Amino acid sequence: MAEENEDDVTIEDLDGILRRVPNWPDMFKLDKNMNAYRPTSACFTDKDGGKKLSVTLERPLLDGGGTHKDAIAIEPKFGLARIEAGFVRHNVVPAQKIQREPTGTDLYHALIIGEKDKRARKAMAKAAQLIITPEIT
Amino acid sequence: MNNLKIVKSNRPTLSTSIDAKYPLPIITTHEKVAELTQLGDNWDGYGALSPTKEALIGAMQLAMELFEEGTPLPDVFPVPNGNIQLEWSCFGFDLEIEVISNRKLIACFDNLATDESWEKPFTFELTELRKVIEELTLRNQPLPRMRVVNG
Repeated sequence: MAEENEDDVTIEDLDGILRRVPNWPDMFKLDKNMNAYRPTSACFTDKDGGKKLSVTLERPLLDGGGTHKDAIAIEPKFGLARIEAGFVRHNVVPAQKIQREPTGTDLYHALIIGEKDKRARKAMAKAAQLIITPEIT
Repeated sequence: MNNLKIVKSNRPTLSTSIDAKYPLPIITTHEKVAELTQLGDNWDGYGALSPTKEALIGAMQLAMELFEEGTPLPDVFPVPNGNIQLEWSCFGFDLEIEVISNRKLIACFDNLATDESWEKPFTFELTELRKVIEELTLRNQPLPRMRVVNG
């Protein structure tokens, strides 16, 4: 297990990191200032309000023959937000680290590690691209 | 963790019982918050906690305290840690209020036109938050129509 202060540099800055976006309650909104739909910053909060946020690494997922849909296989009506690794490392304050942590259900699972106050979560939400829109029921 | 139990009842809900008395933004916010009482744990697939009773009640009380007729409707979201978040991204303002309980909030504000930006906790003193919501309410008013004067 890597130390918390280690950043996995084999995850390149331009690599996508993916976070599921629930469809109910719908966790995205129209940002009228940006004139675009985006996930709420609450999507970038973990259950403990702590330092580790679960994501899926896009490049190994796609290189392994998977698709973005596979990242939401456990909840097919969920959406999917994409953000670049370099953004969380260099544009979020405080800077975040990324570590691989494969699990039984997600071989490409990783953690974004670092303190995330509301400003940090909001920065990630505003930078995130909704690559699969949640299916609203 | 969460002591709130959902039971079926024919009694009027909070939102229906206040319809006649309160401005629409309060009623609508109460309805959105009430929907979130249905959430169980792990609603996000990442192990999220269901909203706490303290956060649900706190969000409703905050709306009662700060909203008036014409206040733009907030987006209401559960936070995976059990809190409730109210958000506005309109009229050049970005405001997020994370409600932990009735007297425990964290707000993050950005005025995109002036670069005013802060994140701070609130307890009893809500003046600064009230000012932002009053300004949002003001900006949400329809523009006055120009009078055309002949001659």
